[in-house]
Formats: sequence, structure tokens, C-alpha cells
Amino acid sequence: MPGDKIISVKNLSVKFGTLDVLKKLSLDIKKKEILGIAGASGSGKSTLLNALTGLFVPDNGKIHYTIEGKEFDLYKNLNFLKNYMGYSLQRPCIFPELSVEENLNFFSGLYDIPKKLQKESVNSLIKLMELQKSKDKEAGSLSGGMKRRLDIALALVHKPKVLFLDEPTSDLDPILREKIWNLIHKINRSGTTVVICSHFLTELEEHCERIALLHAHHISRVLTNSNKDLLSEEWIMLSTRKHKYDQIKKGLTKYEDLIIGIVENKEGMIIKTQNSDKILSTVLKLIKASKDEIESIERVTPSIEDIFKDTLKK
Amino acid sequence: MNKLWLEIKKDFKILKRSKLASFIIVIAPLLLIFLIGFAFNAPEEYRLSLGVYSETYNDLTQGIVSSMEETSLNVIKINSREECLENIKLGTQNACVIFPNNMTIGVKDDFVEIFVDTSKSNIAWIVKDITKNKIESSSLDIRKNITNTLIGHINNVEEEAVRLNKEIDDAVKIITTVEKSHSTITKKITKINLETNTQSFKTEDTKGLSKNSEINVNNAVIKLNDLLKEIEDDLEDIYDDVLGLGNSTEHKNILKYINTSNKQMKTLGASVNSPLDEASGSLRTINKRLETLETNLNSLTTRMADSKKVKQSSLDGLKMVDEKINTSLSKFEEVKSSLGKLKDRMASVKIREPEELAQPIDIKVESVTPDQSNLSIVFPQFLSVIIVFISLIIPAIMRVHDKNSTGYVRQILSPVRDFVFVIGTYVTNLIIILFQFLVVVLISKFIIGLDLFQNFFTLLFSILIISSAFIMIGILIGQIFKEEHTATIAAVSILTLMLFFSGMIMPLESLSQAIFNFNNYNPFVMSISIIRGTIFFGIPLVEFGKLITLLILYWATAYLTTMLILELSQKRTFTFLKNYIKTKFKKIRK
Repeated sequence: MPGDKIISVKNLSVKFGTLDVLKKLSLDIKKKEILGIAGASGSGKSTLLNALTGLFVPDNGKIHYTIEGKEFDLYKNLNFLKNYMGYSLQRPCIFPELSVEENLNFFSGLYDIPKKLQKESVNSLIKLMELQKSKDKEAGSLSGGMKRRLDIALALVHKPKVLFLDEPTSDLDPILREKIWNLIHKINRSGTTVVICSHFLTELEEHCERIALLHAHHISRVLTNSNKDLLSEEWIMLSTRKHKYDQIKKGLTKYEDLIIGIVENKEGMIIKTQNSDKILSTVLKLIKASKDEIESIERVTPSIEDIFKDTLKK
Repeated sequence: MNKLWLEIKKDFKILKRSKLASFIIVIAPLLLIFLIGFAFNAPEEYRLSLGVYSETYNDLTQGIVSSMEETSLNVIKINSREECLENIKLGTQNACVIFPNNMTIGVKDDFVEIFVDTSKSNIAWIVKDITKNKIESSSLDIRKNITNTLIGHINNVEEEAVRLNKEIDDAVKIITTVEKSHSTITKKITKINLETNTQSFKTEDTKGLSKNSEINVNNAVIKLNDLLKEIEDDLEDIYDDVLGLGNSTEHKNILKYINTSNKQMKTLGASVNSPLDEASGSLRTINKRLETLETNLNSLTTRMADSKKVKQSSLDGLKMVDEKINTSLSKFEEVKSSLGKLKDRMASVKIREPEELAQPIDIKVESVTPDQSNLSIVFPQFLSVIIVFISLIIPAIMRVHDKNSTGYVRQILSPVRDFVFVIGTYVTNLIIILFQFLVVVLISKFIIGLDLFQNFFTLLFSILIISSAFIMIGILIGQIFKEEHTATIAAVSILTLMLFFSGMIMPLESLSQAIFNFNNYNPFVMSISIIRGTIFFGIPLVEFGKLITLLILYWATAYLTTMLILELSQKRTFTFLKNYIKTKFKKIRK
């Protein structure tokens, strides 16, 4: 649905030399959502954000932004679209020699915002980021958390439509992390789409509406988290005496729509589903029909980390 | 424009916060100019040490040493040649002058040796020049003396030539007289006729005639005698006949008559024979005399032939003498002409003063620069060095610092185009340079006493052009290198190279032709030319049109290269072009 999405990525490929970092990656980012991007180290999360913000041109693929109902190719309208995106990189991008306020003033001045609005924006950001006491301090002398907040503030000086955050809570203590997440929610509530890359899967699980799993150079799964519980995915972990799993698999083919995946291992089999009630009753019937005996059967709600690890195993 | 100003303000704020950078940018050039000003703001005077050595000093060498001592050089007599050379190596002396043992004028192998450490090229040239000048000054006196003697000799030769000319004239007159006499003699000898006509004597014919006459006489005598005999016989016959005819008186008378006739006949015979004999004798004598005459004539003919030969040889000899005289005369003429030329040449030597001849051209070195202090001479170079160093190093460091700064990425993320940041760095540095230039001008005016306000605006504009080129080259260096220290090393290396080939260390003229030509494009050399021309001579900038155009070209090249590197580093243009070509290619294939 073009009306819903603010960014559309199609077949994005990025190579560093001969190394494929991203390969035919496709992803839609919805308006006003908080999208988490999870992936192993070196999976290309930052590269994806860099490509989405136009820091470099990918080797292949298209990125379109939808601004006020119109679609814009990122690389053809880069300077225009820069006005609509904010990016806080993994390492705070600030001038350490300038004060907090000077940094904010300088970067807000780089956008075509009237001076009065600039001042207002800077002041409100200082307030929002709780940097009032440190506004005259040199940015280089700030603590890690403050630098991070300043960096996010700098990414927001021009009130972007999309905010990209790369590992915004890394190196921060839990209290600061909480603060940052509160801030992100505040920003999101103001109508800004937030795209976050993070290692902290539980945080993503807690705060993101959707989580895209980046694996094998592309988005392997997008998990939806509308209930804030996670993803409505459940696993049925089953072990039988006679290991007649093939018959169970066969019997479940009718319910393809409800099954996310089936994994067989030494201990038994795991059936991943979005409707465990229906699948569980079917499985029990199938065991009975195959004259097998249940050794153990358990219904588990997997954590994001379980899903992440499971995805990595693939 | 607003964004450019923001960038410049940001750059200055960053500079202000970095104390070291502030020191380097503001204090360092001031310190430099102060130091340079105080160090060089003195009259041209060198405290240079000169070692001299000679095994034995005589009046000549001592005179030269004394004249050297009168200069600003610190002259020290050294005990040995080795020590003198060693002192240069150790740096305790700047040069060493070695005089030959008991140096004498005119000794071919005697020469003064000057040793300098050419690695300290500028000092070496100064010492060499002073030493050489002093030795040349002493040798000038010697040259004057020698020239004086030579002039005396030339005057003598000239007088001698005049005298010789007269004598040649006299000799030519004598020879001309001799030639005339010789001509007369030749004519006279030629006139002597030694021709003889011995044939006209016909001695043989005469002798024949004489002989015939003698024979004829003898024959006549014989015939006469025979005739007389016959007559006698006839008379006897007649007598006998008459005697036979009777003894008559008549007969007797006839007989008597016949006797008388006989007798008369005999007397006639006798009287005819005697003159004939005489005639015959005379003819014989004539004959003999004719023979003698013939002998004499033959002898005369032989002598005349000999005389002719002698005459001819005399004439030949005279001819030869004539030729020799002519040759001698022409030789005399030649000698005379040579002497004339010699005289003329001698006369053409107008300068007879030994001083003028020993040093015919007086050299007077005058500086075209108004001030003679060392500072005024080196000031343009130092100003160029300061401006070029700052213009190249600071932008290079600033660019790397900017690139490596965490805020750099955020700048790229902003909609402001990259060139604004590059130009921002350029303008920031230009302002720094202009500020420093202003400080230098003020210090020069009020502390050092050098007035640069005379050509202030021309100088300001030239500084703008020069520093613009170097700032952009510095930015390019900063764009190429990732670390501040590598960029600094690169900038300093480039500067060192430019400085080395700028003529400040080695004279440009001593470089090979290729490098000399290439050096015309050395921006540092161009900068010095413009600044020197502006400060010293107030040359308008229009005159430096070519250099200014070249510097602007350097600026443009450096700027375009910087932008290209920037684009490539972000893979923008390159990838965009690649993708564009791919899409086009796909469309064509479809």
C-alpha cells in the first residue's frame, strides 16, 4: 500500500569490493512506525542505514521516499530528501570543539529553516534532550549518554519525517537506555518514523512495532509486534517415542498458512506457528493416527532472541 | 552564502577552541616575523671566520692577508694546511685560503687556493666572494706595476719604430741610387760590341792568292829563264850561224852584237830574276805573315767569344742584382709598412695609464632596492615562506581534521552541497592569511621599520592570489590523506621541494636547464617573484598576468581534484554513472 509506506527499498545490493554486504534486499518502512532492524554483527545493518540516508550510492536497487503523497527516488533527489531524514550514527556525529548549543545552531543552520524556527527548534530540542545545563559545554566534554542525546537532537534539528538511529543505546547504562527509548517514543509520537538498528533484541521487542531480521545479505523475516508481546508466534516443541515426524509433517501441509516453520532435531521437532491452538489439536490427532506415543509436548512463546538465533541457524 | 558563513564561523570557533592551533596560526607567524626582523634588520655585515695559511708569508701574501683583515671577516692564521681544511669540516671556519710558499708574481705554478664548504652554499659564496675580491684587489696592484713596465716598453718600441723607419728610408734611397748606377752599367755593358767578322779577312784566299802569286812568279822566273835560255841558245845558234857566214866586220859586228845581246840577255835575265826572286821571297813572307795573322785572328775570335760569355754572365749577374735590389726594396717597403702599422697601432692605444689598463672597466654594484639592510633583501622571501607555509599546511591539517571529525558525516547528511564546506575551509584560511598579513604589515611598519603600506593594495591582492592557490593545494592534500600527520608530512615535503627549487637555497641558474624551465611553474618561485616585484619595485600586478593566471589555474585544478576525490570517496558520481549506464544498456537490450 503506497499510502502507508514512507520508504520503499527494492532489490538493494551493496558490494564492498567483491564482498556482498547487501544482496537484493527489499523492505518497506511504514509511516510513523518504529522499525527495528536486527542482525548479527557485520550483517550490514549500518550499511543499510547508510544507503537509506544516501551516504553512498548502492551498486543496485532502488530506494524511494514517499513525501506528501509523492514518490521520490533517493539518489535523484538526495539533497531534497535530506531535509526529510535525520540520522544518528553509531558514533555521535558532533563537533567536539563546539558547545552543545553551537552544534545545534550550526547544524540547524545547514537546513532551510527560518531563523526564528531554528531557535525554537534548538531550544525545544535542548529541553527535550534534557541538555539545558550542558548547553554551553563543549560537546567533546559531555558524557556518553549526553553525546548520544545531543547526536539525536542534531538528527532532529530540521524536524525530519524519518529518523534513523544506529545502535542508539549501545554503551549506555540501563537508566540512560530507558531515557533514550522514552525520547524515541516521544519523537515517534510527534509523527516521525523511526528506524532503529540495535543489538539489544529485547529492547527492539519491547519498543518496536516491527522488527526486520537482516540475515544473509537481505531481510529474512519481518516480525510484527502489534500487541507489544511479540509477534504472536508460538512454538510447539514435541518429542515422540517412534519419531514418526514425517507423518505429522505430511498432515500439517493443509495448514501451511498457519505454520511459520518446522524444525526437526535430535530431541524431536519444533512447529512454529501463529495459531498454536488449532495446530496443537491437529498434531495430537496426527500422533494418535500414526500410533505413536508422546514423550513430551510443550507450547512455548519464543523470545525475539530465540527467533533471531533460529534465523541465524538457517 | 549564509551556509558558507556558518561554515566559516564554525571553523573559526573550532580554531579558537584548539589552543595549539591558535598558537600555530596566530602566534607562530608573528613570532617568526619578529625573530626574522630582529635577526636580519642590520646592515649587511657577516660574522664569518676565515682561516689563512702559508708556509712562509712574504710582503705579497702578508699584504693580501692585511687587506682581508680590513673586511668584516675574522681572519685567523692557521698553522697547517690540514688544520685549515679540518676547521672547515668542523664548522669553526667558513673558508680557508692557502697561499703558496713564498708566493711570487709570475711563477706559473703559484696559485691561491680557496676552500669553502659548498654544502653551506650561501655562506660559501659570500666568503668566496669577499676573499676573492680581496685577492683580486691585491693582484690589481701587481697588475698595475706589470702594466706600467709594459707601457714603458711599448713607448720604447714606438720610438725605436720611428727611428727605424727613418733608417729604412735612407737605406731605400741608397739602394735606389745603386739601382740607377746598376742600370747605367748594364746599359753600357749591353752596348759593348764584341762581334768580329773574321770571315771577311779570307786568309785562306789571300794565302792562296799569295801562293799562286809565288808560284806564278816562280813559274814566270822559270819561263823567263827558259825563255832567256832559249834566246841565249838562239843567239848562240845565230852567232854560230853568223860566224859561219863570214868574218866580215859586218858579221863581226853582228857577232859582237849578238854577244852584246847575249850579254844583255843574261843581264836582263839576271836583272829580272833578282826582283822576281825578291817578289817570290816577299810573297813567301806575306804568306808566312798571313799564317801568323790567321793564327792571331783565330786567337782573337776565341777571345772575343770568351769576352761575350763574360759579358753575358755579367749581364745575368747584373740582372740578378737588379732583382735582388727590387726584392730588397719591396722588403724594405714591407718593413716600412709594418713599421707604419705598428706605429699606428701604438698610436691607437690611447689608454696609457697603468691603472686604467690593469682594470679597464670599473665595476660598481648598486642595489636597485631602496634599503640595504639584510631584512629588506630577504623580507619578500620570508613573507613568501610564511604565507606559503601557512597557506599550505593549515588548510591541509584543517581539512583532515574536518574530515576526521565526527561532525563531518553530519555535514554530509545535510542538504548543503560539499563544495560549500570546501570553499568554507578555503575562505577561513584566506581570512587567517589576510589577518596574518595585516599583522605582519603592522609589525613591519611600527617595529621593524619596513613600510609595506606604499604598495599595500597591490601586495594585498597578490597575497590573496598566492595564498588562494596554496590554500586550495593544501585542501587537496588534506582531502587525499586520512591522518593529520601524513597530511602534514606531505605538505611539508611539497613545500621543501618547492623551497629547494626556489632559488633560496641554491641559485636557480645553477640548476639544469630542464629543471630551470620546469621551475618557472613552481608556484613558490612565482609567489616570490610577485611579492618581490610588488615590495621592491612597486610593479603593477598586470605585469604578472602570466604568473597570476598560472596561480589561478593551480587553484582551479586543486579545487576540481578535491571535488572529484570527494565524490569518488562517497561513490556517488561513480556508482551513479555505473548504474545509469547499466540501466541504459538494459533498455537498449530490451
